[in-house]
Amino acid sequence: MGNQRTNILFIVIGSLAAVLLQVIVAPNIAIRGVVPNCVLVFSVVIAIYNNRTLSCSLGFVLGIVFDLLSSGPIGVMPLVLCVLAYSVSSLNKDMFSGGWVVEVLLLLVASLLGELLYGALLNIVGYDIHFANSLINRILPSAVFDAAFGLVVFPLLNRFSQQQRKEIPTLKGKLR
Amino acid sequence: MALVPKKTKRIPDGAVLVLLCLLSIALMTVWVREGDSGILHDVRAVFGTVMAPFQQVGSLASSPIREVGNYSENAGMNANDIMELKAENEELRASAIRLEEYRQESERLQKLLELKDVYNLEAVGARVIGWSTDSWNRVITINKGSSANLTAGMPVMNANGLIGQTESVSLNSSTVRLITDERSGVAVFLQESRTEGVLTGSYDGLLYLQFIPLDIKVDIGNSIITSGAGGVYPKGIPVGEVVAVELYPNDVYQTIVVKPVTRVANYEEVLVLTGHESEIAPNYNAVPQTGNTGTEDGADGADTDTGAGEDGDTSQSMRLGRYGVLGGRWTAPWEIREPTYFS
Repeated sequence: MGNQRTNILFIVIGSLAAVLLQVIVAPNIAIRGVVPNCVLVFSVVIAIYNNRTLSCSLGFVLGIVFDLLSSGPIGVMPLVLCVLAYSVSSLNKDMFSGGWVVEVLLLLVASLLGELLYGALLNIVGYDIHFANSLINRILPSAVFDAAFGLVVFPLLNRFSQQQRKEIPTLKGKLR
Repeated sequence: MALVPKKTKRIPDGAVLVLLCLLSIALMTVWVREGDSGILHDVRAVFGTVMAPFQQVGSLASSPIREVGNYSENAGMNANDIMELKAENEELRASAIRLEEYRQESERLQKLLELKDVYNLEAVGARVIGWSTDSWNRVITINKGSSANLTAGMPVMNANGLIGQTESVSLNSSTVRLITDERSGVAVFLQESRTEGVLTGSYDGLLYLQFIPLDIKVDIGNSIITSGAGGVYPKGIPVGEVVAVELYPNDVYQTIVVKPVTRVANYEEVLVLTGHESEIAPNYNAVPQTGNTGTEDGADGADTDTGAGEDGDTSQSMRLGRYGVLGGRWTAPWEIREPTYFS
């Protein structure tokens, strides 16, 4: 019960921090217009160690906040983060026993898929998105930037991650 | 009778996902359908007002970093660069003197032609307090909103030239979509040939000048200025200069790459043009031309008041006269091109 409360507290504080980072820090470290997506990074990290409902709901809320902050259409990022968080949360937790390398790789892939989906949805709502150009100038750099951002963030979240790992029943544990 | 604890019904994960996805799609639909104003736009405006102080904090905190960036960029110059800059400075001084001559000459000629005033610009100064929070939009946030009588669609510029136009306005802040954004389009013409085209943004931050026919001669370094067509931007604001011209045999138009006159990193204070009128009524047939100019526009001199006090306050409304920031680096088109001589 105590752990659950700590977990919720961490998620709330972490979400606020992610939003503030997105507003205050991210625009100022943008490289050639490519801005790291702190909200996406946080959603993926939370999805790694939490159940699907919680991850999906958090993704939705953070997505709405992200859309309100940006100047794009509202509703696109919630959809992206919902699907992304649900998918990441559905992965076998044993995958992450390998440590942060797997997590960062997962973040890279998740960011890539997330940006691709975001671009595709923008196209649907009427934006004129040139696929090849956006892939080279937006999607790939964003994914790399997010993964790099994740490298910085993961050590900060390490303590939390370790705590969560202990609570996840692994296959090894069951065999013993 | 033993009490059996009630089992709480848990909503399946899949159902939550489907529900939230449907909600997201509903939001998107509402957003698309409500056009330029509606409940979601209002919510965003309120959210923008709430987040504006945080953006300002970010802007203030990052200004030393940007300064360091500028310093390191300048520190990287070698002796040759400095020599080149000095030479360029000399040329510019000479050019400024020559341009002043042309300005005075133009004033006299316009009085003769009894041309009406071309522009009547009013502007509000604002500070940039935030940059785009995502990679898909090239926008900036400024610290003036509806409380300063700003509305969506107003042109925004700085001392160098055009930046963009206001897109959404909240009480004390506004979002400005930059001309380098892929979705921006500006009606412009080539200053030298007076050929009209449309300047669009791109993913790489450069601008592309479209609809310039193959038979029009375009040189690298040619200036691009707003044409005033469409009525959004006033005529004569510098936008960029040509950096590359590509001609392909099967194309109808040239591919012209334009470098913007302003860099995003340099945006600190901007001017939002709250009012401008275009009252062009020249009698072209009455002007015997021997120069290379096409249309003739312009008017007499203008007083400049940037409105920014010594303490950096840019809040007061400014009247820019007919040409905007004269004395800064923005000059009216007639000041730059070759003068028209009368026989």
